Amino acid sequence: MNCLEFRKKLLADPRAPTSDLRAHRDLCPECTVFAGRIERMEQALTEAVLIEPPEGLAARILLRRSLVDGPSVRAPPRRHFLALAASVATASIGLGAFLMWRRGEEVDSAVARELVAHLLGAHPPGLGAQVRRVPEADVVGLLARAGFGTRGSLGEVANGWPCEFRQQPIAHFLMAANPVTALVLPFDFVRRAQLFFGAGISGILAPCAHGTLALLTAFTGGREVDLEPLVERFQSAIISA
Amino acid sequence: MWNRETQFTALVKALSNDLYRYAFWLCRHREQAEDLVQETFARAWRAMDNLRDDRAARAWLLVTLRREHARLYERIRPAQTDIDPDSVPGLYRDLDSSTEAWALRRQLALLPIEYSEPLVLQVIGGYSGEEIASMLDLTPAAVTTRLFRARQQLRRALRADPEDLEVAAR
Repeated sequence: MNCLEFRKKLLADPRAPTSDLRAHRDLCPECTVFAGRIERMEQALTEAVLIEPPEGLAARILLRRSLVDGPSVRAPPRRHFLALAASVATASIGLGAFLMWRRGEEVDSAVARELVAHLLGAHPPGLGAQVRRVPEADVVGLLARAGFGTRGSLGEVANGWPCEFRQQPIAHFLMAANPVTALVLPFDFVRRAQLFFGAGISGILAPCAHGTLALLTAFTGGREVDLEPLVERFQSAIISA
Repeated sequence: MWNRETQFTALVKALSNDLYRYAFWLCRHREQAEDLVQETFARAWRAMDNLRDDRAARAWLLVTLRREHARLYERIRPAQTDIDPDSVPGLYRDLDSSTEAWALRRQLALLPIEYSEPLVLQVIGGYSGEEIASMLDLTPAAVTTRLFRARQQLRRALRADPEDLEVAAR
């Protein structure tokens, strides 16, 4: 092997020099120096190639898989959430075109779009795997953080999060009994209950204390959860702080 | 018992970072790179029954990502070499990177894709010339030539001993 062959081979793959490369390097002082430089460049090259991936990449991949494809191992609370989340994901595609008020008023599409975006984007990664029963005291704490008090129970809550909507703290609950997501918002969006449906989602916005309650569930062609009893329960249980 | 979801989770945790790096050096765009990785894993989920061998899964994912990138390129033809690497947020990993790595990253972003791609595969995946040839549908000799030229261009760009090969020719 001559020096040119040595250097060509080394540049093609410097990571594991073959026996003939090592033999030439040991005999040729100039190529020994060259090999040392290439080794240093290779270390720098490795460092250069290994850019930092975005934070939470793996969690976002897992979250997207659960939202789009649904769970492969069925567990009731998680199934409920994912059924809703998948519907909401579908809904978000054509939200502006499909959401409509059932009672003849035009949807506030900005609010609807933001609610869906919140549902899709504001959760901690790995949400579906974190389903549990939330103690009553935690529910009260989440509501208090959003500026609400309680005078009764909301019912069994499977999960809850301290979220923000339009830069204000809100309470975000996944109800245990039904596949319903509840958002308690400190905004006066509606003066009376407004049902809406379309594009895979059925929901209601209702006044609740000084703010608004948003309930969202999967639209299943008339077999969806009846939301109005849940609205009444939230309205009677939640008061202004 | 083999569990599809557990296996998928393990695959994502083990390989998503390297896939992202490969994607980034293919498209040189952070958001597109994440989209490519997401799409690749979406396909992987549908093909999980065939991805039980870790080494094979890694190669399958890289090849799938490459095909996704080709599809993306067909659709939108993103500019690949006219970016200013200094303008890409977070392109340079941290302030502790060596000066050489910083300069190399800059030059790597400017290399023609046919040179940078096998190089990145070799560095990230530790693949041999034969394995890279199989993944890129090239001959092993072509891969060897591209790897040599890639490193040679990086060295030239860094002005590192341009006379080295001339020395060899004496």
